[in-house]
Formats: sequence, structure tokens, C-alpha cells
Amino acid sequence: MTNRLALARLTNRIIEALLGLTLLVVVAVILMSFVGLVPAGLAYLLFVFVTVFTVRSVPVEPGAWLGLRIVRRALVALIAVITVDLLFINGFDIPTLIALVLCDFALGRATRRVAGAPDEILDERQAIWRNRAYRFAYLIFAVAAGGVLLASDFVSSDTRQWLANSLQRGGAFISLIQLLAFLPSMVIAWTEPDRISGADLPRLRNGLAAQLAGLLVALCLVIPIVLSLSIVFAPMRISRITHPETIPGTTASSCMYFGAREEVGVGFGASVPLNAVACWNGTTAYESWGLNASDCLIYAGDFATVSTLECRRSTQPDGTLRFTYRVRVQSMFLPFVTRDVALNLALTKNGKVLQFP
Amino acid sequence: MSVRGKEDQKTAADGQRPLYNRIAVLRAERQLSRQQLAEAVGVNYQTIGYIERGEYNPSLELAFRFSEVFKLPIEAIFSREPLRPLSEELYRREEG
Repeated sequence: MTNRLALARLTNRIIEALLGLTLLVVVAVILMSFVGLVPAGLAYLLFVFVTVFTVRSVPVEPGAWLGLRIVRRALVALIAVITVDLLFINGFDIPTLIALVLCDFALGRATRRVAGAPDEILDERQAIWRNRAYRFAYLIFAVAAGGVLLASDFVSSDTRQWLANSLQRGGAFISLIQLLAFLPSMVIAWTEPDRISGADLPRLRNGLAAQLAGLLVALCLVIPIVLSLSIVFAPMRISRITHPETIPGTTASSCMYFGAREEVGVGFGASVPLNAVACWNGTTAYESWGLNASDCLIYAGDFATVSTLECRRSTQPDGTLRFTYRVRVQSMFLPFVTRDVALNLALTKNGKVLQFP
Repeated sequence: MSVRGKEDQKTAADGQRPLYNRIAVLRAERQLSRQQLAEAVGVNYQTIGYIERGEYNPSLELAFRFSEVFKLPIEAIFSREPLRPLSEELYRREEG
């Protein structure tokens, strides 16, 4: 026991040292993301990774409510529903995936990660239950995965196509990984009786990692919400540039390059560009390049989806060229958070710019 | 006294024959918390709770560790039959 405790303390010290070092790297990456050197999404994912690492290093007992079998069974049922749901929806639907990650996190806490623990840190009861859980998990996995594969293959061509589509979208793949990685924990959570609670619970460990874990988890949840809301509330950033453009076969002064970029959101958001050359000849203004339907598909979103609402080019009777490009930016985390972005260009037959961002 | 309480009529969670024990009484008598007893015998504190409630039957190795901690023979701690209260056992012994 003494050797085991000494080893555990040494491991904790190493983990805390690594944690400190990793946090420094993360802070550096986040700072770089603010100045645009690193994508904000990458910085956030790194932050989530560090948070998971930190939480896993803290042997905090789960709350009393997670000790109740009925709560754990409800959690397992919810995970099962999401896992099945992934087979039918787009596997990279961010809110569903986040819900699954949070449920898996709660499952890990509820079972104190017994399923993946080595023999050295388990007592005989835990080791027996873990081994039994793996046996049941293997049977359940064989029936579930094998059943879906066989059924979809033999029932009809539609079911074969459904499975192929689900694999292509990634949903079936994520379900498979979910079952492989978490089914033993789900079995333990389902079968373990109610835990004891009350005065006999040991006191929580209160080290550096424990203090940081709660803060990091809170930040992990708050950051996407705040950054998603920035899509609506942060001022839109517009950059623009125009200069005369020489097009072979035309006079040098009759064409102009129009470059504009509208950015919404801080970190999470989208960047919508417009790059075009338009010309005029005294009778009419016309597009040289960059004002076509295909040019309305050039945008970039970070944890936000962008959909084109309008992409229209027209020439007025007076020879004025008008181009309207409107998109809707939607947060992946909070789907009800949306903002419309418009890039308009109006150029007269004499080369006068009436409208440009 | 059997410490199984409501669990008297039930079998252990692992399907074995019920094993009655006096761990809760002995622990209270020695003013040990589950955590302290768990550390003494080298198991998780929840395991103590499960053993007390009859939801887990300990191995012979663990039973010997309880015996060493409580300084009592194994048969005074564990039994295949419902255990009588310690006071009754003592009274019968004194009478005999």
C-alpha cells in the first residue's frame, strides 16, 4: 500500500508539472489566435484537450446524484439514444457531438473511470465488476454492431444505402467508436448499485489540478457560448480595397478591381469575401470576373455555418451594374444565433461607385 | 445480529449465497469511518459499503484482512447463517 501511495504521489507531481507546461503552451496558442496566427477553433480544441487532461488527473469523487443508480441508468439511456441518433443524422452535427462528449464525461465521473483503470489501482470488487462489464459489453457490442450490419445488408438495398450514407457522413463511425470506447463504462454505470453517501464520503483532494479543473470546465462551456454570441453582438469588421485594373483588350481606365471582406464574430464566426473586376464603357457597366454564382460560395466559417441567401447580378436600364451577395452566418453551438451579412456593389456606366462595403 | 437488514432475504449481487457479516457493528464499535476501514484493509470505501449491505461477498484474502484489523476470527465477522446480536452472543457465552 505504501509503495502504491508513493507511486500515486509521484504520478500526481509529474501530471501537475506536465499540466503547468501544457497550460503555458495553451495560453501561448490562445494569444496567437487573437492576433490571427492560429485559428481560434484549433485554440479552443486544444483548450478542451487540456481541460479533459486536467479533469482526468483529479481523483474527485462524483456528486451524490451520480451515485444513484437511477441517475446513472438515465445517463446510459441518453447516451444510447444519442449513439443510435448518430446513425440517422449528420455525424458532425456539433451540438449532438457536444452533448455526447458531455454525457461521456459525466459517465466517466459516475463510474470513476473504473472501466479503463489498471489492476493496480482497483480493489478486488472493482476488478471483478470491471471484468464482468467487459464481458457484457463484448456481447452487447457483438449483437448491436453485428445486428445492424447484418440487418442493413440483408433487408433491402435501401437499408444498405442507408448504412453506406451513415458511414460516409461519419455518424456510423462515431457510433462505432462510442460503443468501442464507452460500452464497458455504460455497463458498469447500469449495473452498479446505489453508492453510499453522507458523512463517510472521503474529503475531496484539493491540489493544483483540482482547483484548476472546475475553472477549466466552466471556461470550456462558457467560451463557445460567448464566442457564438459575438457573431451577433461584435461589430462587423469590414476591409475594402479598390484600384484601377488593366484588362487585356480594354482601356486601362475603364476597369476597376473591387476587393472587400466582411468578418463577423470573434474567434467563432465567418469571413465573407468579394473579389471582382467590373468595367464600364459609358453606355453600361459590366462584370469582367468575380460576380458570378460560383463566387458566392467562397466563404470561411469557424464553428459557424454559412449559407448563401442571395447572389444576384443585374444591369439597370440606365447601365448601372448591381451585384448583391447576402449570406447567413449561423453558430454551430447555438443554432438560433444567426446574422445576415451583405456585400453590395453598384457601379454606374461612367465608372462611379454608388455602393460598395 | 445480522447487519444485512433488508438484504436478509436477498442473495448477493453477484449471485452467490448470501454471506452475513458484522462489519457495520464492529466498525461502529471501534469508531471507524468506512474510509478509515477501507484504508486499513486496502479497498475502496464504497466496497466497504457494498460488503456491509451484502451486495458483495469479499474474497478469503480480504476476509482475513478484516479479521486482522478487527482482531477477531473470521467466523465472528462473517457467517453463512444470519448472525445474532453480539450482546446476545456474549450473554449466551456467559450463561454457558
